[in-house]
Amino acid sequence: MKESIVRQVLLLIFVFVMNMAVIVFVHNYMNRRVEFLQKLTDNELVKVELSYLSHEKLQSIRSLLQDLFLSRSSHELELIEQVINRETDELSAILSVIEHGGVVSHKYEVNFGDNEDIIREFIYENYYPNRISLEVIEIRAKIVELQNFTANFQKLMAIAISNKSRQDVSTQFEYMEVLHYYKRIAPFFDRLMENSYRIYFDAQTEMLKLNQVQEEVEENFSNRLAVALVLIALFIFSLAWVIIRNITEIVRERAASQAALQASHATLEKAVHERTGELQQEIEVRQEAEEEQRKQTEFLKTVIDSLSHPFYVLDVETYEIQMLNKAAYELGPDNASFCYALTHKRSSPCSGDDHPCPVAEVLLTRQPVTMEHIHFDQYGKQIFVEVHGYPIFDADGKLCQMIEYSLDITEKKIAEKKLEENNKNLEKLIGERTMLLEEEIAQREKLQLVVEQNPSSIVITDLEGRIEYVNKQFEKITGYTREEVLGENPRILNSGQTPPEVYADMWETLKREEIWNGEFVNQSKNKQIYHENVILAPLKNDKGAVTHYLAIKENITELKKAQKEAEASNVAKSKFLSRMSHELRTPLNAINGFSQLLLRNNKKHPLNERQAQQVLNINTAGLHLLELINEVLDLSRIESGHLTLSLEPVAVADAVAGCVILVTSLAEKTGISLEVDQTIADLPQMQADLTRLKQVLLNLLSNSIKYNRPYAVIGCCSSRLKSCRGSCPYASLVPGSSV
Amino acid sequence: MSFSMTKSCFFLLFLSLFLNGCDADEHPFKDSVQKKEVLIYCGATMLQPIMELAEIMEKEKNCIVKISYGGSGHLKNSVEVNRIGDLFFPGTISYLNSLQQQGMVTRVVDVGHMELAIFVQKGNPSKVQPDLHELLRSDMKVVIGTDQAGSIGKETRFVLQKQGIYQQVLAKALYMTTDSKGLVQALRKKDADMVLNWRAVAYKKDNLSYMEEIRLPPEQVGKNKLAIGLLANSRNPELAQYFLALATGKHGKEIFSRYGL
Repeated sequence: MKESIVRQVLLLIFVFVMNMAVIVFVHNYMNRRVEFLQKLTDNELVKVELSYLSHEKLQSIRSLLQDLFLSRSSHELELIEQVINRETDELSAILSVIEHGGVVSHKYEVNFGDNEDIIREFIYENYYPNRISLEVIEIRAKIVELQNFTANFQKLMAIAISNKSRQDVSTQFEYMEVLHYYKRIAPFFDRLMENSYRIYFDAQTEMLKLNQVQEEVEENFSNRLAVALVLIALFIFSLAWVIIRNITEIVRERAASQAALQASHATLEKAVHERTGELQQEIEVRQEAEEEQRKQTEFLKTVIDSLSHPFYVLDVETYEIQMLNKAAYELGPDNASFCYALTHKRSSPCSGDDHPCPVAEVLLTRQPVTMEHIHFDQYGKQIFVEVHGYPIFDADGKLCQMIEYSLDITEKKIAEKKLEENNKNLEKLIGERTMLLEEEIAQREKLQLVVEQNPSSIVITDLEGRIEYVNKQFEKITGYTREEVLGENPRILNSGQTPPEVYADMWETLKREEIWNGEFVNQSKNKQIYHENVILAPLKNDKGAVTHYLAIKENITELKKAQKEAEASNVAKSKFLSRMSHELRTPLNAINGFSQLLLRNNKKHPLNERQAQQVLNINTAGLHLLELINEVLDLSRIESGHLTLSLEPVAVADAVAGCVILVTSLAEKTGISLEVDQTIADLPQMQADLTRLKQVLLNLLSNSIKYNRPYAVIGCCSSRLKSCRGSCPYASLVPGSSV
Repeated sequence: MSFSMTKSCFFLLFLSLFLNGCDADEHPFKDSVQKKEVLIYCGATMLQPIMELAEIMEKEKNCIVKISYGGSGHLKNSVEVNRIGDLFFPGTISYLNSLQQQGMVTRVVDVGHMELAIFVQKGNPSKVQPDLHELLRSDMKVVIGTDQAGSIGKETRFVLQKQGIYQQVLAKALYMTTDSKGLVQALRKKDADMVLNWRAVAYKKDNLSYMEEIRLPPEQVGKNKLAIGLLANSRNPELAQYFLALATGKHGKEIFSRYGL
C-alpha cells in the first residue's frame, strides 16, 4: 500500500508536469496559427489596396483618354500620352504583383510639411501562384488593347488638331472617326472596371473569410483550452483526492492494526501458556506410547525371528540388508550384507527374465511382487523358494525399503514336476482319443447324412416295434412328420391290402435274426395307397444282441404300375405276333410248296435256266422268311410263357460237330480257325431240346466269328460244374477265343 | 488508480505527435485550390450553355472550370497576350482561324450557329419592322457593337455594309458596346430603343421580360458558324478534350439547342 501511494504521488506529479507541457505546446501552436492567419488576412488587405489602386489607375487612364479627346494642341497630346503610358505601366506592375506576388511602390502626393509625397510599398505574397486569376488576365489583355487604342486615338486626334484650321471635307470624316473612338471609351472601360471591382471584392471576400477563420480558430482554441484546463484540473484534483483518501485510509488501517496487534499479543501469550501445559501432557503420553511401541517392536522382532522362513528388510537403492531374522541369518555366510550374497552367493543382483530381481520389480511396479527363485543354503544346496517382496514407502511416498521373505517350495516343485509329466502323458492320450473320436464323429456324420438324405425311406424301431427314427424321405412319402410317428408302431401305415401271410413271414424271418425282403401295400397320412419294397434287418450291438430293427423301404408304386402296363402290352404283342405268324405261315407254306414243285424237273414243261434260278430265289427267300417267322413265334412264346422244351437225350458232341460244320465256311472267309476240344466227345448224353441247343450253339459260334479279329483261333471246350442241382450233371460249353 | 504512468506517457506522446502533425502555416483553403483548373475563353452570348457544361464537368471530374467571357475579339487578344488557357469559344469562327494560323489553336470542333436579329423594348412600342433599315429611323435610339471588340460588332458591320448603311448607323449609334451583353444592358437601361444583337440572347428568360425579338429576313442576315478551339498552351489537355467531347455529345447539343445555338 505504501509503495502504491508513492507511485500514485509520482504519477500525480508526472501528469501535472506533462499536462502543463502540453498546454504550453498547444498554446504556442495556436499562437503561431493565429499569427499565420493574421498574416494571410493582412496579405489579402494588401490585395484589396492593390485592387483599389488599380481601379484608381483605370479611372485615371479613362479620364486621360477623355482629356485626350478634349486636347487642342500636340504638346497637350504628348503630355497626356506620357501620363497614360506611365499609368499603364504602373497598372501592369500592380497586376503582376497581384498575380505572382512581390513588391510595388506607390507615390502618394501629400504635400504636407517638408514631404511633398509619400512612397508606400505594397508587399503581397501569392500563396497559390498556379491559380488562374481571370480578372488579371482580362485586364492585362485589355491593357494591350488600351495601348493600341490610345496610340490610334492619339494619332487621330493629332490629325484632327492639325486639320482643324483647314475646315475641309476630310476634317468632317476624321471628326466622325474621333467621335467613334470616343464612344468606345466608356464601354471599353466598363469591362475593365468590372474586373477591377471583381479583384477588389474577391480580395475583400477572401480577407473576410480569413478573418472569420481566424476568429473561429481563436474562439475554438479559447473554448477548448478552457475545457481542457477544467478537465485537467478535475483530473489532477481527482487524482490528488484519491491519493489523500488512500493515505487517510492507510493511517486508519495502521492504527487499527496496532490495536489488533496488541490484542493478538495478549491472546497469544495466553495461548502459549495453555499450549505449554498441553505439550507437557503430550510428552508424557508420547513417552508412554514410545514404551508401548518399544515393547511391540521387541514382540515383532521375536515373532519375526521365530519365523522358520528367511525374512529380511532391504535398502532398495543399495540392496543392503538392513534387518533379518534368524532363519535368514542361517542361510548365508556371516558377512553377507547384501541380499544377492545371502541367498544366491553372488556378487551382483539377480537379472534376466528367468531370474528377475524382486527389488527391481518392486521399484518398477511399486506393488508387492511374488516370484520363484532358486536359493542356496549355507552348504550350497539348491532350494526352490517363492519370494515375496513388499514395498515400504517413506512419508513423502518415496520407495525406500523392501520386505522380502521366501517360502521353501522344493517339495511342491518336485510334485509339480511329476504332475506336469503325468499331465503330458494324459494330454497325449487325450489327444489320440480325441483324434479317434473326431474320426468316428466324422464317419457318423457321413452315415447320418447317408441315412437322412437316402432316397429310400428308413425306419428304425425298438424290439417292440415303436418307431425311434425316420428319415426325411419317410416324411415325404407318408406325409407324417418325425414328431408325429416317434413312439408309434409302423402299423399306422397298414392299408389292409398287404396279405397277412407277408407279415407272418416277416416276423418269422426277423425272429431268426435274418434279413427279410418283401413288399407292403401301405397308405399315407392322407389315405393314399402306395407300394413299398421293404428290406428289414435286425440291428445288433457289440455283444451280438438285437436291439433294434431297421427298415429300408423303396416306393415302387410307379414301378408296379409300369410293370403291369408293360406286362399287358407284352401279352398283347405276343398274341398279335403269334396270330400274325400263324396267318403268315399258311400262305408262305403255299409259296414254298409251289416253288419246290416248280423246281422239280418237269419234263413236260421244263423251266429254263433263268426261270429255275428265279424260282430258286423265291424258294430260298420263302424258307428264310419261314425261319424268321418261326423265330418270331418262338419269341412270342417265350414272352407269353408258352414256350415248351421238348427234352430228350442228346449227344452233345454231335450237336457241336453239326454246328461247327455250319459255320466253318463263314470262319474261313475271315481266316479264323475253329478248334474243338476232345473233351467234348467224352461228355455223356444229356437231357436237352436239341433244336434250342443247336440254336444256342450256332448263335454263339457265329457271333464269335463275326465279332472276332481276322486269323484268330476259336476253341470249343467243356468243363463240369462243381455243384448242381436237379437233373445234373450239366456242363457249360463255351466257345473261347485265343490269339 | 488503474491509470498507470506508462499509459499516461503514451497518451501524452500521442497528443504531442498529433499536434506536431498539424502545420501552423497551412493555408485554410488549401483543399479548394489543389483542384485542377480549366480556363475557357467564351464569347458573352454563349456564356449560359458553357456554364451549364462547366458545372457538369466540375461534378464529373472534380475540377474547377473558369470562364473568361466578353467580346470575342477581346478574348482572342487575351489568348494572344496571356498565352494561357485551354479552350476558346468565340462568337465567330474567323477568330479561331486566325489563332489556328498562328499555331495557337490545335483542334477546332463545330457546335452550332448564330444569326442576327433586331431587339426592341418589350411590346415593340415603336412598331419596328423586320428590316435592317429600321436602324436608321430618326425616332429610334440605336446602340450597336463595335467591330474592334467582338463578333457581334464584326457581324453587325458585315450585314450593315452589305446593306450599305453601316456608316449611317455608326453615325447614328448612341455608343458602341464590346459584346452582346453590353447591347442587352443598353436595352435594359433603356439607353437604346433598338439594338442589333445575336438571336441567342432571346433564349435567356430574364432578357425576354424587357425586350422583344424582331427576326430579320434570311436575305439580310446569314447564319454564323460556331466552333470551339483547343488551345496549344492548354495545361490540362485531357480535361479540355473531355469538355470538347461533352460539348459535341448528345447532352451538349441539347444544351446548345436550348439556348438557340
